[in-house]
Formats: sequence, C-alpha cells, structure tokens
Amino acid sequence: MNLHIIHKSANTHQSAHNALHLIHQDDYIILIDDGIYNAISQTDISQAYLNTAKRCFLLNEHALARGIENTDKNFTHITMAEFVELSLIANNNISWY
Amino acid sequence: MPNSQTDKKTLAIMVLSSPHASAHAQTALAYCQSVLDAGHQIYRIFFYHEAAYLGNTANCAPQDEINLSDRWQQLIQKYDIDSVVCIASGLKRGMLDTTEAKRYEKTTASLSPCTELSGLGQWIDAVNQTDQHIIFGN
Amino acid sequence: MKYLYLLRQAPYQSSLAREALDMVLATAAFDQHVQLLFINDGVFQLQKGQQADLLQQKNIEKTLQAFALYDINDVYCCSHSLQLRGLTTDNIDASAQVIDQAQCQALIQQADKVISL
Repeated sequence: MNLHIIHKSANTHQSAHNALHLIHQDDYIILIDDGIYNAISQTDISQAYLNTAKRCFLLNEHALARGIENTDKNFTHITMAEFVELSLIANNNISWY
Repeated sequence: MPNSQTDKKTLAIMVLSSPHASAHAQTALAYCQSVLDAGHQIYRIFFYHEAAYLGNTANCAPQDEINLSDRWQQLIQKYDIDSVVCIASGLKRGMLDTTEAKRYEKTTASLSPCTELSGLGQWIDAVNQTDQHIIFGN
Repeated sequence: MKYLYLLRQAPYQSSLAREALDMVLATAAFDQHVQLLFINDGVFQLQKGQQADLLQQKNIEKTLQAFALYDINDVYCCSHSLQLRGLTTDNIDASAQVIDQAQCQALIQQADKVISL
C-alpha cells in the first residue's frame, strides 16, 4: 500500500487531479491542508478518489479548521497521530502539492 | 530493522515550503511533533528549496501571529533533532552560518545555530538509513 | 536501494525542477539505483530545442545528457501526460522511454523509495 498525500484543492491545482493517474487500487489517500476541500460530498473529485483508492482519509483537524462539515461519509476522519501511523505503515508516501 | 520489537520507526523528513508561502510548513511541524509524541524517532529533517527560510533567526512575526521559524527551531532544540538546511538552497536565500557569513563578507549570520548547512548527501543518507521518508511540499 | 523519482514540475517557472534533478544526481552519486519518471508538467523538461539562456537560466536538457555519466539509464515518460499536452515522442528527448498508466503504477510498486517532486 502506498499513501498518496494530497495537499491542494482540485479547484485551483491540477496536482489533485494528477494523483488519480498513479493511485493503484490497493493504495490509500489522505487529504490534508487545502486538499480537504476535495472531500466535499457530491463533487466530481471526491467521487473520483473514492472510486480509485482502496481507502480515503482526511485529517479531521484540517477540516474543522476550515469549517468543512459536508464531506462525503466514505472519507474516514483521522487525527494527526493516526495520520503518522498510516504514513509509517505505507510502502511509500507520495506527496501531491 | 531498527526498533522493530517496539514497533517504533525511524523517519527522514523533507520540507520544501517557506514559513509564509503555504500552510505546509506548519502542517509538517505538527506532523513532526506527533511523530515524537508517539515515540518514533526523527533521524533527520532536511530543509530544501524555500524551506531554507525555516532556519532564519531574523524574522519577526506580529504579536498575534505565530513565528513558524522559531517554532521549528524550538522543536529541533527541545528534542535535539539532527537537522540540515541545504547549503545550496540556504546560501542563495541568505541563510548563512558564521563561517559562511565570514566567507561571503556579510555582517551577520542569519541561520539558527540549532541547524547546520550541508549538502544533499545528508538527505540521501537519511532516506537510506530510515524506515520511512516523507516530503512536505511547497 | 531502488529509488524512483516522480518529476512533476515544468522546467523554468520555479527552481524546483532543477533542484529535483540535483537530488537525482546526488542519489546516483551515492551508488543507488535511480529510476526517473517524467510525468504531468514534468514532461516539458524533456522537450527538445529549449533555449533557457534567453531566461538567463541553465538549460535543463544539459542535465538530462549527464544522466548516462551517472549510470542513470532508466528514464521514463508518462504517455498520458504527453497526450494531454499535445506532445509526441518526436518532441521529447530520445533517451526517455514512453510508458502507459499500468507501467507507471508498476514502477511505483516495485521501487524501494519513491520521491515525488
């Protein structure tokens, strides 16, 4: 399992879309920083991630900071401590910024 | 495998963002704190590209804003972490230790004494020696 | 150790493309096995006929030519990225091998250390 770390909003940065091409069906993704906005429900990008990755996470404190509550329920909210553990069990961390 | 019995891991961390260009340098700092809180070990932090500015001692934040360079330097000192500002990234951005300040005939050193200027070999060594690496972009 | 670099940046807008290549050369100098995947705007680094001197910058093509001296022979380019940008193999450096999505993903799966820049 590789962990794709997505930092940017798909609305302004192509990198959020580019990640899709390299996400393997066994890979996980986590949305952090402005990547959080990509989890908003019923957006094309949130569905694309859910359809591509094995599991999708978002960093809860970054969603709370932005006041974003309407995320798709299939994104699992995790803490920074859980993100650390996830990043340590991955074969590689692939950052998209 | 280092620390395999306790499930504790070693990490190499690269930061690319300046304190102000994006939130990523702050996210990276929170990540590092969380790594240490969990008992894992940071083998080395490598500040590359715009993140060279995180070694700056001369920036003064307004009172109601955090000083991210100070925060990084405090973390490095508190946990005695090996950290490197890439010498090529640092010099062109004015991050000088006392030796380089003298060499380039500048009046003051700007780099925090808690970190050091060195080359990319330090990063490759860190990636080779550790269980995991992670890059926080710009 | 097998290193795979994902080179995603266009060559001259920021210094990151060049700094990524500096990292690539440092890795090879450490006697590691280095593979390169030019992808997204990174494929523009492979564009033929660059005249970076017009921007008072170093030509990134020159660095590409140095790869062989460092025993870097596994140079790949994402076909999808080329296609999206209106490029063909005729437009890019001949040293790069054009590969499809499955091959790109396989490179990542097989690498010990993936570095995304």
